[in-house]
Amino acid sequence: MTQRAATLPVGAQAGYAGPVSRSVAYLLDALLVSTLATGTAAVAGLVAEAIGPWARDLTHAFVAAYVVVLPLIFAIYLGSFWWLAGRTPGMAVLGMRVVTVRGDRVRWPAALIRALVLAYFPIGAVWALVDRRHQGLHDKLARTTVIHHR
Amino acid sequence: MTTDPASAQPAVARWGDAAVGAVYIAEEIAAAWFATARRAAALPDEMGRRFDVAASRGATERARARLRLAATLDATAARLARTTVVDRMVDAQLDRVLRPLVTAVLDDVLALLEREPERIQALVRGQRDTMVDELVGRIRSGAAAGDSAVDRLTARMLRRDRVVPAPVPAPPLE
Repeated sequence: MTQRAATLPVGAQAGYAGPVSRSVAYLLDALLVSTLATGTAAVAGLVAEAIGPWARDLTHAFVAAYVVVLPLIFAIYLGSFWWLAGRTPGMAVLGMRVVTVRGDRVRWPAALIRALVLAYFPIGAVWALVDRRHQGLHDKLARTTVIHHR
Repeated sequence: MTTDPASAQPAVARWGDAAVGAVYIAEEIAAAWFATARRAAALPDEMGRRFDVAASRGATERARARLRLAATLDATAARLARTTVVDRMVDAQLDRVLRPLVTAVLDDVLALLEREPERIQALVRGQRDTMVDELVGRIRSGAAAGDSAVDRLTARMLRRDRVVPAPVPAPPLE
């Protein structure tokens, strides 16, 4: 199994995405998801108030489980974008893309594993600081990597 | 009784001596004349050299005087332009000529944009795209600088010098 390696141009925009770029993209995506989720929860609460007590109780339960549910929402968001487009909106701003270690598109199992590990165990991404290919724990498990690709 | 040595010589010898003496005298006279002529011939060259020096000096002084005059005129014009009287004159002329012109042209431009807004829409859209591109560019360049700094630091700490090439991404699906 050979790896199709790219020739890095001088002053390259190609190459593995570094930890700062990936952190900024992660923060952008996290901000987007938390804003949307919080807004949705607020709107749902208002609607539930109008519907009736059972809807209100359901909404309260949902908000109470926010801490558990939000990472799941984040994982679904990440996995969907990685599978369909190879990048999230935050990664698109920074000009990055998720690929397999061979350079192929990421399939849905790898995208799901990567998303769940990153959403529920984000500390594992710190490994990207010292890894030669800037792979975090979620990359190692999903056999993926993040590269610069406009 | 004394004997005159000159009268003792024969007359022919005396004539010969006189002729030789005349030749020497003539040579001295000619030498003096040639020296005088040489000095006279060199006089135009000396005069020419002195003329050139004087002309060069005159040209230098004339250029210097011209520069001084220009500087004086500029300073005078600048001082004059900053006087209150000139300011009031200029303001009066601007109010009289420029303000009505700008108002008239502005009304026409606004009316034209109201009739044909697509003329300005493309420009605004282009400016907005440019601002977005500039913002994204700044974010990317800042992040890339941070990545380079982190890579240098980890390479120094872990004593690495080899760059691992990145894989070529597969083309996107159509």
